This record gives sequence, structure tokens and C-alpha cells, in this order.
Amino acid sequence: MKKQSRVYRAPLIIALSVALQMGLNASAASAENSSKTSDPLAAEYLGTRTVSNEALEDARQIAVNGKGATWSCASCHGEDGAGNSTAPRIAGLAPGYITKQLHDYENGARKNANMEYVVQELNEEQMLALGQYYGALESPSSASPDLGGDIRRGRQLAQQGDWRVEVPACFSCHGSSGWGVSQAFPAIAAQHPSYTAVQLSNWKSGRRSNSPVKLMHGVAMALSDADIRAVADYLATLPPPQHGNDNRAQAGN
Amino acid sequence: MNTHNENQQKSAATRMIYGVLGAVVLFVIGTLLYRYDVLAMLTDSYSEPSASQLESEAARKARQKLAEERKQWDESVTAKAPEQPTGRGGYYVPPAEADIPDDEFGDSVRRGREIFLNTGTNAGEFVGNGLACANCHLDSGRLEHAAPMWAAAVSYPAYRGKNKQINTMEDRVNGCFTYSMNAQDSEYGSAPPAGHQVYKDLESYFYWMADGLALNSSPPGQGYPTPPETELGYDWQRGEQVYADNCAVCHATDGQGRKDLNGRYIFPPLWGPHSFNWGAGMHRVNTAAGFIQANMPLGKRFSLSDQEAWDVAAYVMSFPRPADPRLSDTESVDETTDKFHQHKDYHGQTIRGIKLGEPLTEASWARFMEQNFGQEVR
Repeated sequence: MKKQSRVYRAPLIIALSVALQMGLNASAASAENSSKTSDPLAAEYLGTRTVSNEALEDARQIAVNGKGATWSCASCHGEDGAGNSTAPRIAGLAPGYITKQLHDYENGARKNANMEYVVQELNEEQMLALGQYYGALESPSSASPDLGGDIRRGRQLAQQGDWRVEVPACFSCHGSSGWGVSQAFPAIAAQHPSYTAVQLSNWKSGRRSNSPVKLMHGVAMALSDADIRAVADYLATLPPPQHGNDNRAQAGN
Repeated sequence: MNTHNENQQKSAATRMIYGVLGAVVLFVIGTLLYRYDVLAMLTDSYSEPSASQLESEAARKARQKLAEERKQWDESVTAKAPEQPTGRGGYYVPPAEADIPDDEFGDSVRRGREIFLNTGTNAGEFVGNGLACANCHLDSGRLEHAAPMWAAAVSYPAYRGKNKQINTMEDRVNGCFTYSMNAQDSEYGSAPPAGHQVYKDLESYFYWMADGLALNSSPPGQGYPTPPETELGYDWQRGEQVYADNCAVCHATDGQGRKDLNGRYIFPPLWGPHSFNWGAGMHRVNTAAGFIQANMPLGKRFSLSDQEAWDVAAYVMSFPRPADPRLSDTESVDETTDKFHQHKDYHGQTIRGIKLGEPLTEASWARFMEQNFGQEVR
């Protein structure tokens, strides 16, 4: 039997409080997915769209300086997109994935008061361009384990899964280094544990339900709270996604 | 005086007895508190054991019980014979990876496991496609209803209708390389030669995994379950939508799988030159339907209906793939169909303008992909 001391629980309680607060702030609009959102290939379509150089420059401006009265991406996600304990890493995540999340905040399929607010300012091309801007951005990890999770258990879940409860390895979809696969499976390596844990909890509770084929729902349902802390902490120990010289050729594959 | 002394001695003895009794009582209370996590409950840090912990505890106990019963049987032949270890679901429980012995045999088991997981890396010269053993035998070959290797290990030698002879485990694995791993297109050009270390190590791994299972026991969870046949039968055209809804996000619309940034296949190719050939068991619609329903999508076992499983299996198996290696022993694709494909498959049929079973060339494959998926071969 696992016993968790109160100290180790504190970050989880904070994380859950944040989730609760976000829940209260979020609009009561139904999470019914539009046909675009529930298409399992949505991220793939978005990831293959091209944008002009002007749009990319515009995206950089939005990322760094914000737009009109709305704050910049960097003000929460950090100048290099590496995130922190209150906002996730977005640097190096697949462009199609990022753009799809922006769409989902817009159409209510994904909930977060801050993100729902900022996407109101963005048009379609800017969402595409922001995906490409952050997808190409490489930045060192700013994450470290801080939930008191069992790192060995986390490594086991990430590398081998736990088939006794029908949990496949994280890496069997998110890539052998957790750097993501194609457009639909984002990088999870070097993600901040608070973010990973809250998202897994949200999938488990059904609050977040925008993963293709609802793949994350089944996985999260089978994870205990201790497992969620374990895997979130383990992923934070990994190096962030690096594209090498030829990222698009490989990433698009 | 005497009386006084006696009284004093008596009270000292009584105190000692009370003291000892008190210590015992405290000890018992302490043990109980610890045993039932009372302290944790009082401090609100108690957590119920998770399903995974319960499963893993049951598995550990089953293996431990086997070890004890073996010891008793070894010491006395009249003791109860050891029972096969089973978990909470009733399926056989293979030994834990951590229990691979630390000796020469264990080294072979570990090498076998590495070949099984990363076949293209650790037995690369005999692999002619993008697959690995563990793509179809999930959880490193341990998962029930995913053709677990513990069940295979207690099933050979056996006579196989496929090649009409007695097959040892080596012969069986030779078949896997020949067909599922498409060894004809590998660097070596065929499956590993007889007696090769690759066989020894894989066989060690399987043997170790089946330790505790009775020979020829047809254990529950072996192979893939075949879904019951449906009234509508199977139809590859109906399967296209099932594929788009459930499979394409991982295996891609063109079925060619996806690699990660390291250039490794994360989702294996399901048809075409980098997949298994027409001789592999998986090309049969019934086998594929069973595998798919019991194991796909990953993490959503048994989520497809019987009809969906049959149709999507038919869809995947209606595409071109590397030729059946036995084609070279026959006059034509049709003769190969007559001799080797009298079962539920599409070998020899013309679908999407291509006769299935004809050897694929770079040009014919490129044309096929362009016509059907409107893209260049990747």
C-alpha cells in the first residue's frame, strides 16, 4: 500500500485548486465538439497548411508583444516558450497540435479562461502562424519534478506502460524520446509536471475531451493519482524536443 | 520482616509482569495501527491501493505461491503438485522482468527480449520491413489476447498445416521472419539460418516467460480471439470509414505509419512494401479482425464492434503488400492463390486496379499511391 505524506500532496492540491478555479471561470457552454474538432485528423490537416512570411512575422509579434489590449504569449509561457509552473511549455510542440488547441479554445472544446479570452483576438491565419512559430522554437527545459511522484514508476509508465490496467507506454504514441509524433501527438518531454498532472486529471474527469479518438481519456482513467504525479514528474526530467537539421521532413512523416 | 520482604518481592514481580504485558499490548496496538494504515488515515494521507497495485500484488503472490509449491514438491513427492500461477483476471501470470536470472541464461533472455522489442535494430539483417515482433505481440509478448509468447512457448513442437510438417519453435520463428518480417527484402535475404543465435535468444525469452505454464495447456488468452461472424459479412469498402475514424490518426490515411523525430517507426506501416507480406498470418481477415478488436486502438481494447472489426480488417487487407515468398515456387499469382490462399483473404483479387499478390515494384507502388492517395511515396 502506498502512503503519501501531506507534504507531497500539497502541489497536487494547488494544481487541483487551479483546475477548479479554471472550471468555475470557464463558460458553461457545452463541450460538444464541432465536426472540425472531432475529426481525428484535424491536427494533421492544420499542420500541413502553409502561411506567408508576413503572417509568421505577425505571429512573432503576437508571441512577444501581444496584440492590441491583449497580453503576449510570452507573458505567461515565457520568452522562449519553455513555460513555467503556471503555464505549459509550448515550444517544440507540433504546429498542427498547437493550432488545433487554439481552435478548440475558440469553439469551446477545450476550456481555460485565459486561453479562451486571448484566442478571441486571433484570426485563422494567426492561429496557424503561431503554431508554426512555436513548433519551430527550440528552448532548453525549465521543468523539474516537483509533485513528489515516484520517478521509477513514472519511467515505467512512459517507457513500457502498465498493461495490467491497459495503459500503453506514453512513448508508444508520443515518440521514443517523448518529443512527439507527427501533428496529433505532441511532445510531452520537459513539460511542467503541474501542467501534465492537471491535464491527465482533466482527461480522467472528462473536463478535457478533445484528444483524437478519445485516446487520452482511456489512458487517464486507468491512472491513479499517484501514477499521474509519477509520470508527470518523470517527463519533467527529460530533455525538450529537438528537431535537428531536418525537422519538417521527419515531423511530417 | 519476612512478610514485608515477601510483599516487596511479590510487588516487584507483579510490576515486572505488568510491565511486560503492557509492552506486548503496546506492541500489538502499534502493529495493528501500522498494518491498517490508521496513522495515515488520521493524517489524511491514506490512499486506496490502485487497480494496478492490486494486480501487481496478485501477480507477485501467484509467482511466490508457485515457488513455494515447487519447493514443497521437490522436498516431498507426495506434496501437492504446483499449480499454474494466475492473476485476478484468471490469465496466466508470466514472471516479472526484474526476475530474469542474473546468469548466462538470463543474458540470453535479455537479448531475446531486445530482439523482440527492437527487431529492426537487434536482428536487423533479417528484417525486410518496418515492423518489430512487439507490434503484434503487445506488452513485450506478455499480453493475453495479443498472441502472448508464453502460450506459444508451450505449443511447440507441433504439426502445422501451413507447411505440412512438424515445426519446432525455431521453425515457427523462422516463419515469422519469412512472412511477418518479410525477410526476403532484408540484407541477408531470408530468415536467419538454422541454429542462429537469434533463434536461441528468442527461444530463451519465450521459455523463460512460460515458466510455470503446463505444456500443451492451450491457456486462456492465447492467440487472438476471432470475433463471431456477422450477418453482413465483411466488406473492405465499409471498413474505410472505420479506418478513418479510428486508425488513421496513428497509422496515417495512406497506412504507411508514422516515425518520430529519431526516425523510428512509432506507428507501424499496415500495407505496402514496408509491412508484412502475403504469407503472414495477419493478412487473413479473420486473424486481423481478432487482433484489431482485442488490441486496437492502443489503450482501447475491445472498443470496436464485431462488424467494425471485420470491416476495418478487410479494408487494411485489401491493399497491396510484399509478395508471398512462396510465389517463386509457383507458376503464377493464381497458382499461389489456389495452393496457399484458400481462406478469408484478398490474394489474387483485383482491387483498386491492382492484382493483389503481384510483386510490388517501386514504379507500381508509386503509381498506386499517387492514384489512391494523391501523394508521392514517402
